[in-house]
Amino acid sequence: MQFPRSVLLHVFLRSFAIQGSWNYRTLQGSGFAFALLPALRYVHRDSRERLEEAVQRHTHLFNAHPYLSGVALGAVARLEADGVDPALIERFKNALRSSLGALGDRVVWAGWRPACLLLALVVLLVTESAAAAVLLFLVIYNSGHLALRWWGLRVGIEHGRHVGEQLRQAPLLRWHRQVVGAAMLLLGIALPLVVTGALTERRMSDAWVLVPLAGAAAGWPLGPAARLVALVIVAALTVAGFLIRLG
Amino acid sequence: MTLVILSVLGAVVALDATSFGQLMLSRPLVAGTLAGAIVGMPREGALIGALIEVLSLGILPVGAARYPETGTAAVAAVGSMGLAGINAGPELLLLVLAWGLIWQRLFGITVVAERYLNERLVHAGEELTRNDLHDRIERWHLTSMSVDLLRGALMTAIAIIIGAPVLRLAVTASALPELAATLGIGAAAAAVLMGTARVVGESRALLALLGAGAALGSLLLWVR
Repeated sequence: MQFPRSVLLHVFLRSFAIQGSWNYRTLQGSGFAFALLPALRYVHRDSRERLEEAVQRHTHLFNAHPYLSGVALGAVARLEADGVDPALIERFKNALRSSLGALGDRVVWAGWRPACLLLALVVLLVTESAAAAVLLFLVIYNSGHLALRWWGLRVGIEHGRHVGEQLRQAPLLRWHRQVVGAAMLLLGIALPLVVTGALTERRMSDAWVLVPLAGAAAGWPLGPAARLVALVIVAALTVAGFLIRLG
Repeated sequence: MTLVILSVLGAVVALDATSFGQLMLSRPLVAGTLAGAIVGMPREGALIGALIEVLSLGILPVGAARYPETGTAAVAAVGSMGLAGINAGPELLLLVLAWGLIWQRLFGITVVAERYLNERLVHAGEELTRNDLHDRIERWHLTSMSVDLLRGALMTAIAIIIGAPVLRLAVTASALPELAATLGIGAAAAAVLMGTARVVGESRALLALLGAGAALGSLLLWVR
């Protein structure tokens, strides 16, 4: 069964809202049913009973990276259209969701997004144009974002239960390595600018630069815990400001 | 009127964060700049947004993790600054940043509360065997998204209504030297950037790229 383009478009648009009713029991479960509904209505247009039964099945627990949820939506729509056994569809969904989550978290949240944000930060600090930084970020980031969503839905629809093989062959992880390299380069560019006071628009003299440099040196061994230390610095200085006034 | 526009922005940003789109309007850099444009301080808004952005670079919305909501916090911080009429030098920037960091935690708590509410709204985990389930699931889902929209608007309004007078008061009650604020913000941001770099990777190739970037950044500084 081929889906009309309008049905695919509706599933695609609804996939943007897959986390709209995110909750701690079924995670994206109800959102998955919501996004899949146009396809289910088309497949089960002759039987209201089968439609209700299919919707009920797809409200169960589901969670994947939102940008790659289209892969599961497309593949499940295809399996429903092919009349595959519901138990098999459920097992397929369960098998797919964790790999889609892990892949998306790595490629998007830990790669594409920080790389684009660091690019925007560098543009902001170098050009001092907030509009240029924000526009550049939104255009570049969302070009990748929208392409990934559309690709995911198409690959899901086209390959159905064999979509896992397509995911393994996709060049996402190879691109991810290049994106991470670019992110590291941009992070390196941002560092001297941040250390010399660009985020506060104050250019520090050479000797004082040693203080933020010490912060940078401390950040490396701390890793993710550096964020906590940064919050403590901000809190301590805020309190110090009030104490100085009182004194 | 400015408060209403800021609240609408807060609503859109809250919705974008998880419920709909994830087009990254909810990133603090974007949300802070937009809020700054609304209050007539786009540059200051972008700087506050960039600071919150840097401090939250390492936060990943993985699985059912609980995390602060940084975009709405940027709107709240910049909106409070604008309505308080503060012209943000480094020492005042620090106060606005601190206000934003407090609110990103509070916003994060409301996100968790809303997710528990969603369980009830969509009858999550129940065996759903009602008639017209396909229509109901749409209504329940859209209701959840509407609640998120309202949460964003309401929380942003509250944060700004409280924030404007609090920041005005804080400015008169604080006497932190400008240099201390500049150094503190620089050290905090640099620490997080390096911490993030280590999370990204420690391979020789990546470290070489980090070093090349730092050389390029230094060259940019020298040229300017």
